[in-house]
Amino acid sequence: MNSFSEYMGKVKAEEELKIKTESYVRTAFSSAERHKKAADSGPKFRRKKFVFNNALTAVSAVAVCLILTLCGRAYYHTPVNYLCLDINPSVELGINAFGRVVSILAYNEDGFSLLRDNQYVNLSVVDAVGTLVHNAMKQGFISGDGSTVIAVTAESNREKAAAQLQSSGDSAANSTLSAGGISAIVYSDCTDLQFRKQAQDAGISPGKLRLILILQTLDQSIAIEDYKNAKMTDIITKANELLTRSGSGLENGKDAEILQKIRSAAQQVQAAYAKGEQEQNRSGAQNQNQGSGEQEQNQGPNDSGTQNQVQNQGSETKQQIQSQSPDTGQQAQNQSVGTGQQQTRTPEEQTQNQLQGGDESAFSPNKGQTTGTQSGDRETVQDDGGGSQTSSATENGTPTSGNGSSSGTSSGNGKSGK
Amino acid sequence: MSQSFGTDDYISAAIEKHADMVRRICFLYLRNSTDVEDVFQEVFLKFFLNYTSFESEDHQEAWLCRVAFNKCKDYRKSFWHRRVVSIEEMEIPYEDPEQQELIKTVLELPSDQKEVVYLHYYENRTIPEIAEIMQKNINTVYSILRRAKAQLKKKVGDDEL
Repeated sequence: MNSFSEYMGKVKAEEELKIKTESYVRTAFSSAERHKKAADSGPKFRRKKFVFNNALTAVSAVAVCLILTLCGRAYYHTPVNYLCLDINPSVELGINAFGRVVSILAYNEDGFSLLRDNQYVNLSVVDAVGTLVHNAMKQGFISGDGSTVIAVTAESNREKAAAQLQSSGDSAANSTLSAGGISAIVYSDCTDLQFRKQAQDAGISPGKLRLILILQTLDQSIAIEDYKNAKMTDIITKANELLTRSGSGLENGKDAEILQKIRSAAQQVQAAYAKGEQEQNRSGAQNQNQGSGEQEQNQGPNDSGTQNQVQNQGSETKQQIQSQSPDTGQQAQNQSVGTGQQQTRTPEEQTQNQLQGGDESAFSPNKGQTTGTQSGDRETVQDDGGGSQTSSATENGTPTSGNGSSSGTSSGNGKSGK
Repeated sequence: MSQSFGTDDYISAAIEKHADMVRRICFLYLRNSTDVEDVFQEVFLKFFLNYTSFESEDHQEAWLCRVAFNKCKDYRKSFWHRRVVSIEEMEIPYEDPEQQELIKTVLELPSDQKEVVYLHYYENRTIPEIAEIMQKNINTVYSILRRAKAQLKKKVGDDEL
């Protein structure tokens, strides 16, 4: 293997290769040393960088979270659809993309009073409409006769969303009314957001404006201001009246469906009015009957009571008259008796006075005679000729008239006594 | 090597000292000057980067041999080297045809046999040293050497061995 060693001995590294390698190694080694030094003295640096990186990441994460939260919040609180409720309180609910109420708007004073509690935000459409209708019932905006029209108007640029909103509002209003035991007419409709802007410019709710515009179509002389604060019931009734007057020609137009709805609602209103009137008449009649029955019932015992009292009084009077000397004149007798009666007024007489309305004249001696006449000493009084009057007064029926008659009778008797 | 580690003089001296050995190892595997240059530079860079871990001069040489062998084998196994045909053949003139035949036979030996022959016959390393460099069992190294000799005898005859 000597020749192998000799040959391998000839293999030497060229100078050029050495120089290149030296240069390469110096450069790479110094660079590596720098990195190594940096690495050796690097825990602090690395830690600082690590901390910086961590802080940067944390700040970025917080910023992203904040941006997402703000965007989400803004998106949540932005209404995309609206639902308008008109009774006469006209209110509008702003509905966000998640179907929650995010804004409320009142179009008139009644609307403000309805929204005073501000308990509608973040509620679902069904709950919000239910609460609104419930509050309207509580505050008396919905009459009990069933003639009140509640207009639910969905406002959206998307037909599907509008239809869904209209259906939700309609069903919520109906279910709340049925739960509250009050009947009302729910008129539902839908419009686009452009119409909403037009209504806002006019300062009126979109649902109401839509119906007023229909009224204007039917009658050019009607102004928006005329019906701005009108109840929906009145607008519907007016619309039906105009529709009836103008005939069926309008129903062939594009608003045929709305006109049909209006007509239907107006018919329900009329039916409710008619039913209310019938009930009122019926209850009036019942009241009259009940009143007269009560009077009759009251009259019987009163008459008998009065009669009893009168009988007692009569007997006393009679006794008084009998105890007076026959020498005194009739007038003097009457005066003395009257004075005596006034001075010696017994509790029974006071009660009688109360029953007879507290008329002092009722305690006149003539009255005493009259009552004596009524008390059944008819035979005695019949001689004076006042008994027929007294009996006729008693036949008149009512206690008051009886008293009046008896006072009249007494004066007659007094005259006759003269 | 009195120069301090990392200085230019130290690098020059270290390269000067071990350059021929590394070059010979490269000669066993590579024929292209560019490939040789790449392997040469990488071996020495790795040497300087790991300088502090050496225990002795002997350890340094053994380490350099091991790294050079591995680098050359890795280079030959690389995708680029396998696909690209070398156009430059580095030839050193032979003294006689027998020498040429012997060198060619050694170069055609398998890697482990080539390494053992080089270390044993040129570097004059003992079998335990070779076993340590190659990270193999001593008996294994003996076997490898025996198989290498048998190959060489078959090709060049007993006179050369």
